[in-house]
Amino acid sequence: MKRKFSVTLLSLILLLAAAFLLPKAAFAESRSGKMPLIVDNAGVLSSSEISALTEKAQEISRTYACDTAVVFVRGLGGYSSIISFTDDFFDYNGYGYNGTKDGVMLLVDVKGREYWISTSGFGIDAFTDAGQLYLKDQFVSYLSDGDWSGAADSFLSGCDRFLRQARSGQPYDVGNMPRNNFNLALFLGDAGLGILLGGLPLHKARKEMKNVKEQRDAEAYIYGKAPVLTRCDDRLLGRNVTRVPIPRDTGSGSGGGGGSTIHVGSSGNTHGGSGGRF
Amino acid sequence: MNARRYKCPSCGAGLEFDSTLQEMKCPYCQSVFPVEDFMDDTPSEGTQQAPGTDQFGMYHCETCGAEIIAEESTAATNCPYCSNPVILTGKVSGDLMPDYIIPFKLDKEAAKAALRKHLKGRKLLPKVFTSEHHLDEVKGVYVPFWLFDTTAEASASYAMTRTRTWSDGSYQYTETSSYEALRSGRINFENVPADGARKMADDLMESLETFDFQSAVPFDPVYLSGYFADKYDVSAEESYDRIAKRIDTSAFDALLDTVQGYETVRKTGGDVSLHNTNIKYAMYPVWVLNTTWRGQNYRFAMNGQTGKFVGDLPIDNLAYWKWRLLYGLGFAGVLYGAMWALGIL
Repeated sequence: MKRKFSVTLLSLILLLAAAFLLPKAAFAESRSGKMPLIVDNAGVLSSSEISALTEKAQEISRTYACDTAVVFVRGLGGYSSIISFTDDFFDYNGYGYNGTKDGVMLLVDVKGREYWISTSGFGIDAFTDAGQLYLKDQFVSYLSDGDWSGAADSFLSGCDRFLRQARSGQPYDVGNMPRNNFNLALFLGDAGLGILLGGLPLHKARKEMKNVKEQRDAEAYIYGKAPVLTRCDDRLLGRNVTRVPIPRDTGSGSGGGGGSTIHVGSSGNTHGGSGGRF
Repeated sequence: MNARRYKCPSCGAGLEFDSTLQEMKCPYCQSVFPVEDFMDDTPSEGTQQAPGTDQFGMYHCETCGAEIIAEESTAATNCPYCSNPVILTGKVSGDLMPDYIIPFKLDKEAAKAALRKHLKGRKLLPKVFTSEHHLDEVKGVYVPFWLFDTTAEASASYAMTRTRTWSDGSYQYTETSSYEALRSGRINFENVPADGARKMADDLMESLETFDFQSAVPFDPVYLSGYFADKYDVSAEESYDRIAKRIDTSAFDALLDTVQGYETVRKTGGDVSLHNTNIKYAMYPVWVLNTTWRGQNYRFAMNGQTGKFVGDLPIDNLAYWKWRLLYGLGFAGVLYGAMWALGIL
């Protein structure tokens, strides 16, 4: 009796465990045994958030044949650079489509309050330096506010747009940046500026309304030679010389015009990327 | 008090001075006569009245017999009953007689045309100013002026500098030379005007300058016929300071012009004294229109000889803000569209 009971209990527990693990396994299956696209090693996301985000990330990755991943960690565990941490996380955990390892990954160090976007393969072309700047603007404020799922969601939405654009053959870059929907705030701002500047042509019209002015002088009434000089002396008082040393300076400059900056990770794989603090 | 009118030899109506023809014309039978026929033979005619004795005076219109009340300074007007010109010769004779007059060169139509042109297309102007009916109210007025002839003896001292720069590779050198200068000289002025009518704003009259004195003729009351005129009520003494200020400025300007060849020039002192000052009394022609708007009076004036037009126009604030808003929205549309097209958005 006791034995049967423990077997039933054990199988029940196993069944429950399987029920929990099954969804994970299902996802893992679709990614053929690879790491999940949404990784929460910092414990900042709820399970519902994880599943919602994972579904979105999978949809995007499948559609554009490019892994889009978000990873939350608490500390870099011995790594001194978040760049190499992220690159390695991507490379050594098997992320990336095809042999070219097409993918993009956002890694957020919740403890160090730092993040890094790493791109690989097609991701390097799809997410240019300029493009990444734009992308960062979309989610950084969420990170600062501690809205982790909001940040991840915003990042994924951005990736969706960028990948769609990149697959069309013209990735977002300098001179070809994403266009927003009608920005009412901007329009009103423009209108405000316009009203301010509208004062300029009207100022001219206003000024022309007034032309009464008293005369400054009596020049029109001078006749004969003016002046007839009775005394005209100029005298030198003195000279003074000052000097200023000529500064020596070196100039340096750099240009900019788009494209993606790349480096090689420890795995030998080439990555692009950028990041910042929040 | 004598109120004179000039009778048309043909029909007996009151003759007026016609600025286009520069002759006397009858507004009823259109006959034209030379001005000389009606000029005074004797220089002082009519009883004189000491200035400032009354604020108003009673006069008798010779055409219709009406008793007119006019201001003390009025020298020429229209009879409010029969519209015929009335000239109060006592105000412009004897000691009060002007030395010169510049007769009107531009007629009422010219004045109205100038007004219409000045007011045209002004977005910010209230509508009442441009009605034809109102423009018709423009009046030709002879304004009394004091004209000053004088010789200014001026002297001034100056501080000047000149600089020279060069470098030898390690240093940039600047040599500043300082100078001082003295200038003394004489400048002649003639016919510098100051308006002698208290009710004509000085800045408005000054804005009308310059009147060309070449066209001035010895005064005769006949020129006033058909126009309004006032004798002076601001004395030459009262006007002197204003004249002196303008002359001083010009005298110093003339001296400063002779200090040449320096980078900086600064006047450090100076003095002007006026000599051989001669004052003339003249009447200058001005077309005047008064417009009332929101309880305020706006006066426009046109130089009756040169046609120069001056007057401060009021701004309709409602119209101003309406236009400003329109500009603003227009600008926003253009800017937003441009940003969109350029992909900056």
